Amino acid sequence: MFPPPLTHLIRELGRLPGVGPKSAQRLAFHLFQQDHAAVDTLAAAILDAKASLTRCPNCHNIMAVDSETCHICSSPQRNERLLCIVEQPADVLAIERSGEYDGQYHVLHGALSPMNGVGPNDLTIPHLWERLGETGADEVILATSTTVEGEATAMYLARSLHEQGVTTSRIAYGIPVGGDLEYADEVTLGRAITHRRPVD
Amino acid sequence: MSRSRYVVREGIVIRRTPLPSGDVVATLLSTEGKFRAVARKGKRMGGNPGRLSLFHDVTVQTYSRKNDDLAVVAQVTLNGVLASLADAHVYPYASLLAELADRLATDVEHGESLHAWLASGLRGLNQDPDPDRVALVHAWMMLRIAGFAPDAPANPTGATRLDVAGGRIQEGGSGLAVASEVAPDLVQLARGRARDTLAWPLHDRKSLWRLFERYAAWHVAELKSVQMIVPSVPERAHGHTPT
Repeated sequence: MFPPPLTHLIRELGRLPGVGPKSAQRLAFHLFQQDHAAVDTLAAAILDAKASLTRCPNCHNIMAVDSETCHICSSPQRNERLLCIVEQPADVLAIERSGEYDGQYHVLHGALSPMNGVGPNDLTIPHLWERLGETGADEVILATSTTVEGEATAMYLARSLHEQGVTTSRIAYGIPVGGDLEYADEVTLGRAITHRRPVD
Repeated sequence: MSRSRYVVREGIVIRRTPLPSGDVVATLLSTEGKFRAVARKGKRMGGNPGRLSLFHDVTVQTYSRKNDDLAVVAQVTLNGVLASLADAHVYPYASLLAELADRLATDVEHGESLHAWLASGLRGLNQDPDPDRVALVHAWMMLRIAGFAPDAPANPTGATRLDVAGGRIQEGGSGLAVASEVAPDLVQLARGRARDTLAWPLHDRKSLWRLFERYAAWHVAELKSVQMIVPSVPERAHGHTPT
């Protein structure tokens, strides 16, 4: 129906997460209507990002290849003795947006999933033990997701961290801020009740 | 009469596959067999995605669109949560039973009994202080109800072997060598009455897991979860490669 280059572009755009066939078609027509400079800028940005980003050797967050460590690991403002463990680099961004955390991170790049063949050695857990052995930590916060996979990963880490004598905490479960209780789902509400805290 | 596009079914979530788009494909085992449905924006917290967590017992209303193989999750009601299944020492076993159920549930004829044994296994794992034993018994029972149990002599007396390819436990012949103290346990798992098997003392569980791993790999599929239970499976010297 379309000329082959346009079909090719629609197909490639359609591979992107969250982009269905219709969205891919709209994006392709939008790009076609842009001038060469705008399309060149976009293409260059994609290639540049791919070529100049890598994983931080310390925390496994995303960083520029020309840096020694990521901006969080290299910041003197951050508390080196406080470590937050997350599943994905996107989780780092989410916690940073909260503005409530000033420690460092360790990105696992996944969660334990035996049925998908993902064990501790398939994540960055061995490097976490090395890191804690070298620099130590006053507290480790387990901020893996609240799925069963994330919970199991947190519990696995907590057990090992307790054996190493490291103070370990888990992010709190609870009701989203600004919501009515009657609209909370039973799993979240049940956990909020179970993990309730005393009020002074 | 046209089939309703909305279907309500009850099942246990045995697999969750997050997609890059943020949607999650959930696989559930019901008493009528296995079914899959996509939960839109399933990575979001709470609500339907929260209820569709691994091992949850749920009632799901799905909506099937014309020319679309995969139904879309419309509503989820939570029937039961077994909270201990996320414990680090239980999780690999629960994963194994769910993975095995997923592999076995290609034929709806086994649906009811397979669902019953999976539910029983998950409940047992949730409360029994010995999850290894619960998982081993239920894994073999699930193989049995799917028709994959090896034939076995009532009381093996001589050198026992598990003929993986032939699907039998035999005295002599070819197959994986089974130690004399393991043979009665293996026979019990393969052909004993369910109630007796649940109470049967299993001695060398590591060997029994290895035999299960090799047998299930041949008859069903390579189960990835076994690797976290018996990490050093490849003791191929334990027996011969099935032929």
